[in-house]
Amino acid sequence: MTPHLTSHRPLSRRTLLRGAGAALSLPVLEAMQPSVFAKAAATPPPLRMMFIHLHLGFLAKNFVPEQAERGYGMPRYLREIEEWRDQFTVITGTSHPGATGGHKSDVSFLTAAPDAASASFKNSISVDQLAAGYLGNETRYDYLTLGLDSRSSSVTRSGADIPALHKPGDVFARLFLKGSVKERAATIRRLEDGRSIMDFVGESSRTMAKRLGHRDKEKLDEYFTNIRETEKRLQKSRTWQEIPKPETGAKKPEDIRDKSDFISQISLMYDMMHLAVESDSTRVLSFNQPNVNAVLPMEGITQGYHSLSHHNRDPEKIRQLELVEIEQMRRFAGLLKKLSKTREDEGTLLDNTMVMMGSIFGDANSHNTQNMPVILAGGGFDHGQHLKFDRKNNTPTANLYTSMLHRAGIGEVEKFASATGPLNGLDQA
Amino acid sequence: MRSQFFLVAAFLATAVFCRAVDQSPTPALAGGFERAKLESFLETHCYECHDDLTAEADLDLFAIGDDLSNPADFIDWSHVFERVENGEMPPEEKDRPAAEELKLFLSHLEDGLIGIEQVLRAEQGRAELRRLSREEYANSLKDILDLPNVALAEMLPPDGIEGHHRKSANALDFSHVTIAKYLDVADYALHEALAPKLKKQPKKTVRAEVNGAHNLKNIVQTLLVQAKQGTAIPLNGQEIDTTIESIRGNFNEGKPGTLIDHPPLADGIVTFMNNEFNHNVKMSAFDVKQTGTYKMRVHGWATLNDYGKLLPSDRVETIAFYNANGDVLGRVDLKPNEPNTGEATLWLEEGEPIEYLAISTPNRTFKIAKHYGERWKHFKSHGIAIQWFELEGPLEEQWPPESHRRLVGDLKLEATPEQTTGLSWKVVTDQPKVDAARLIDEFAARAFRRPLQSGDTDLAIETANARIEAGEPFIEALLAGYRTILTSPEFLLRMEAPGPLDAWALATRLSFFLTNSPPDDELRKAAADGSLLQEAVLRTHTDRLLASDKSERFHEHFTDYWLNLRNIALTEPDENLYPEYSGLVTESMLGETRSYFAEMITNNLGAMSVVDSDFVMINQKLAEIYGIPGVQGSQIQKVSLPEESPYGGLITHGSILKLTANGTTTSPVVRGTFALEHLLGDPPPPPPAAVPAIEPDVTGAATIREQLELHRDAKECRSCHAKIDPPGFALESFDVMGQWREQYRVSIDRGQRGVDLEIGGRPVQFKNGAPVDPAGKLPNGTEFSNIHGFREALRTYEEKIAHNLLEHLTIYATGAPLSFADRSAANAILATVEEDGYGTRSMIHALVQSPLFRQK
Repeated sequence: MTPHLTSHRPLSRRTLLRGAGAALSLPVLEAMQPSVFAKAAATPPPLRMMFIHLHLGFLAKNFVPEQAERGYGMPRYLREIEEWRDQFTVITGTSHPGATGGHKSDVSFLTAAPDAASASFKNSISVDQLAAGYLGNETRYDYLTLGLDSRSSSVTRSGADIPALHKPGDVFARLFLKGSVKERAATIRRLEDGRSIMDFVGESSRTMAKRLGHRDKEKLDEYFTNIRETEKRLQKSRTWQEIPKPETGAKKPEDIRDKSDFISQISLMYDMMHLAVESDSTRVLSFNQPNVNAVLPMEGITQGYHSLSHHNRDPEKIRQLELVEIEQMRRFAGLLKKLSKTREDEGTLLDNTMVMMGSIFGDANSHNTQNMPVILAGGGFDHGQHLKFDRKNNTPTANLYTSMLHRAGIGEVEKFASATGPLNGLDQA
Repeated sequence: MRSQFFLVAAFLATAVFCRAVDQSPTPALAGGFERAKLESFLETHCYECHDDLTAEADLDLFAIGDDLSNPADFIDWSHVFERVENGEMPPEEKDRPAAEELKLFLSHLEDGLIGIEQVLRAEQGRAELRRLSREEYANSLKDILDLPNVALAEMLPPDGIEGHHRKSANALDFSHVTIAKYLDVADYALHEALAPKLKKQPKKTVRAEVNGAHNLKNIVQTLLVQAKQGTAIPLNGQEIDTTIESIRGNFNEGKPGTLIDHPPLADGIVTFMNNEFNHNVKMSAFDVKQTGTYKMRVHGWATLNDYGKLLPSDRVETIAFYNANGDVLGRVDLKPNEPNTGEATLWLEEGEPIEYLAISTPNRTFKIAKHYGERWKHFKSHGIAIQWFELEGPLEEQWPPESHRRLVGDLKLEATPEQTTGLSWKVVTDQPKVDAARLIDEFAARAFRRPLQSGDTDLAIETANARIEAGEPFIEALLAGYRTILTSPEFLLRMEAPGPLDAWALATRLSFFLTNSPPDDELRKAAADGSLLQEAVLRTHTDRLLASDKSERFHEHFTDYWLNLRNIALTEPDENLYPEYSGLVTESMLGETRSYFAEMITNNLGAMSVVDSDFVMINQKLAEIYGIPGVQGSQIQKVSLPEESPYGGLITHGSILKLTANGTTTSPVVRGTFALEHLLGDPPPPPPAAVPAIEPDVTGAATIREQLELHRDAKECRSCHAKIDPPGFALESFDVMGQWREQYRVSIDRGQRGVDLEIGGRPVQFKNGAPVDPAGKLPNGTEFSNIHGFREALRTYEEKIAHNLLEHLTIYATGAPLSFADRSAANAILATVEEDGYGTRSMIHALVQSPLFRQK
């Protein structure tokens, strides 16, 4: 096994332009000259994907429209995003087959892997990571995995959890701030370390492998493969270090100290997600909003979010839970607003961004993973519909993931995970 | 022994065969398995329901192939074996097979299954090559670098889980993310090890005294806020300070209230609140300039406020200190009524704020909306009077610290302007390459878990030399060499050769088992001279490690996974239903279960100690929760249980009762499943998909039991729930945090009054609901009327409980679950320890001496 340094694909002229010229996409300049950037790029704007997971989901009665046709009556929660009626589709009656395990099942939200609670559970690659493998080369970051704590919804090909960035300030720094001299030194150090590990591996693997059985040899090989992958990524980050980060008019957000105010934290993260796609720093994002039991500092809320989710039909709990969930939808509306107000070429950023938002739980009260609540906004689909699938006999949610992958030009993935095909009724506009 | 099946199937499905089948010489004929020999039994007893036409429970025996080396066939046949061996199949209503017929069938099948495994074992060993888990990696860095207190594991992504533990190849997978993080953490730890400055910070003592109520923000902001809001009482000496003038602010107009303290100024304050979220709890008086050990002292006393009068208290109160991540740095206890000084030793990181909480006080917050000004005149509550805090340190004498010497040796340092690494010194050496080679050799000798061989450090030294030649600072070159070693396969991977372990591999297994850390010096010595391979020496080292301080790492990590303690903080008891709860309850519960497990080992307590004991390991807070009088302070102590106490054994630990509840309610199904799976070694089959969970109705209209009765009436539910529910019913006598109860608590509507009871100075916000019915009947027919009777009934579970503990210990210690081929070895261990009631310590010894542990 020889150490092998990846010859990296040269960056396209367009990518470089993007890095250097992202200042042009600032709102003010953009209003004056909306198409400067469009001229520089002969191809249409890229498609992006956002996956947002709300662990505790929504009360179905306020989320699921009664009618299945266009012009359906808006249930309480959807009224909060009614402004974008023609830019989103509400999808009901889908779930991940075999997703059991109570709160643990959330690790399957983007992977569709069954039986999260079983002793032998092994997760599989998440849809965002699969997409990042195709869409990641053009941008500074292949993907961003965001959260409210260290847990993200994203999983590598080998089934390992990817930790989340959970401080909005850190995300901002990654997107826009020039690293300190110290940080840049550390990046270079790591890259060079990567090379020396490869050297080490090259030398010692031959002698080591002799003592091992074939299964162990495979494991060792898996290790070497991942070392190479690590090194490749270090190489990429080194290349990007030479390219200045985009400029932004936005300010670095203050992290929210009050741990119970997760809703403000969520808003800040949505802002970061918008900035990340606007600056084309990445095209694939996941954002995990895990189970929290903090008491939201909001008028009328006296109990923890998780406690409220186990309402057991207690009217007072349901009243409070509705307040929290309406607030959740309002914050999500904030993201849609930002994306739809940012122009890109002939359309808006929302037209070029698939925003999938949903929950592993159809009913968090009983830990039921059937009938996941799902909204898909933007991304150039024929929206304005309620895609109503059988609530008794669910369609795999992975069908939606498949449609999204296809829309992003990843046609070679015929079916993602448990999918039976693309999602019926969801067509390109 | 159903539990075996799940592990076996899981293990074989993912570990042994996957991808292996097509590459290994097919061991199909091992064990001489021939399906034809099973046919007559299958024909008589099985095909009626499990043929291609009926295929009950989705099992069509004709569809199972007869090649046991095919993983799918192996799993299906082992499934059949388990069901028949357990007597579950053929089902009750059918004819029983004759004993001889049954024996023939089972033995042929078992020989086939074991035979296949043995062939693979001979080539592969039981355990597979894996990387260090994040805790093992972090502990290795800590030990090698002498950085026992630096938090490293938290910086690494969590590992996977197999057979409940993070100790086997399937749980410890590789990803580029993991590897990049391991690199980062190695880099971080190496920098932490170096002396940050040329000179050490002088030891200082800083005292923050209450000096006028308006100055409280100079100690902790929250105390000022409490004084302003009238929930804390300012003091002159031991009397209430009556010269405070409070001017209300107006939040909507953005006007903060003020506090004017007229002389004589307050010199103390009584606080009653422990909520970390409300106000700023950072101790502004203390600025940590150098990472190290410090003494924190608090001067004050425990007291009792009775509607504005301070009365003698009979309790010890506790103040706890936390870092910004919420980890406990230490606790200080204060005795009641007379001023006294409590002290704790804290490990503090440079520049990191210290957070304070009056953790033992009975209230998170006060919401006494209708009173303004001196709210303390309107409640009765225990509280803590505080006069001053004092921080002394850093206490380290040696400079540069030992961790620095492990990297730089005795080489001289010289001051420089701060470099890109944050260091403000450089190493003085006139022979950098010679020094680098020497130091790297020394470092590698400590890092590798085997003797250093020539050539081992060549690449690390070359790496360092290249940097020296490039003109980089010596220390940078040196660290680059060290990083190479810390990410080398020899360090990062656990590799064992098939067959009996050599002394070094044995030492490594033993120390990662009993201390979750790499071998220490003594163990390395015993590995180097080979003496560890002798039974007696191995035994001595087992005892030594079990008694060492580092065994705490074992207690903590093992119980985190065996008993899911790591999940204890996932939910918090509802504030209205359980006003007795505070963060100290959870912290104490962890202490209880870990020390109890330590007791099980130290005193060789038997399997029944999982469900019964005549003592508990508790502190004052848990004693309050458990209703046990006379326990004082925050330290965990061994306390004898009164005869009639419902507590005893792990099964009634607050930790377990809390993590099997959701903060609001309890469910016999959840607790029953947990008890069977984690404690009793008799796990129920997984629930069928798409059956909604049964949730307690907190409006009190129906008890969970009534709802369950309905559910159990359904035929398809009955057989499993007959097994799951009874342990859960017995545990219904304990609420979501382990308090004894005879009635359920029910939430009240807004404006409604709860039961006539005050907790921590506030009327409670719940009413009493239906009475608890803890009676039940085990599947073997034994009936019980409460937890006491349930414990009695569990006597028949002794062997199962022991087997379960052995299963957990085995995968934790060896990195592979018990499987078919391990049956005889496992049974031999159990037979050895049966006579002392399956003592935990005896079991650990027997496991360590067994081939399960001593061979790969």
